Amino acid sequence: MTLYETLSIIFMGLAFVSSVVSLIISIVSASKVRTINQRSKFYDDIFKERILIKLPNLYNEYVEKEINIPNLAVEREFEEFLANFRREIIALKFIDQKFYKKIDDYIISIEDTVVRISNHSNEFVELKQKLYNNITSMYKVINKYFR
Amino acid sequence: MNRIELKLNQSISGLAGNDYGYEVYLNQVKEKFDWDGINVIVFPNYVERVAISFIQGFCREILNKISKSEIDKYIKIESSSEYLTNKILENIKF
Repeated sequence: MTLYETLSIIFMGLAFVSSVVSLIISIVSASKVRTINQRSKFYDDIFKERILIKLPNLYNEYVEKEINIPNLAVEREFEEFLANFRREIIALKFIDQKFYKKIDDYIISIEDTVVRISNHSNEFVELKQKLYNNITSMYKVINKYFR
Repeated sequence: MNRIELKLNQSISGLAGNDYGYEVYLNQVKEKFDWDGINVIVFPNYVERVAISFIQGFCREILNKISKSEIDKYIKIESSSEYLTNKILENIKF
């Protein structure tokens, strides 16, 4: 076998390996794009409006109004929002159990604090801070997941 | 029907906390629960709100023995409002 033939075989082998690697990379990339698209759809359908508009507004309305007058109507609106939120994320249970559990736990913790605030105990300031911290922590988890 | 009337702190209108729910179950329900019939669990009228966390703690042991689909065969809830009754039942079954 001449040097030319040997080099040809080596280059053909390298070309084959390179095409296989390219194919694997494109399959992995396509899979990643599908995952990103799926997550993006979940974000738009389930989270976007809830975390950008409804939750911050309910928090402001509830915490501000609850300082002076017990407002069962606002509290129920908050509770129902959280109950619906909990129902809406249930599909995630079958897609990403770990993420689902984290968000579900945050929702339950937020609702727990909302109910405690309504008792108008002398812990109001601490509970208000806890509510704020719970919401902030949930936002961080959601933002990290959909980044 | 087996009627279990809960006795709670009257100064608290909102029940919250998984551990507190479990404690109420252990102290006031566990020994009285009839596993062969319907139990009417009565939340006092001064309770206006019940958090999901409380319900989860309260039902922890019950749901180890019966499935969520069988709840209506064993448990009925009475409370200060239809809204609250539905909320408690929905969250037991969730």
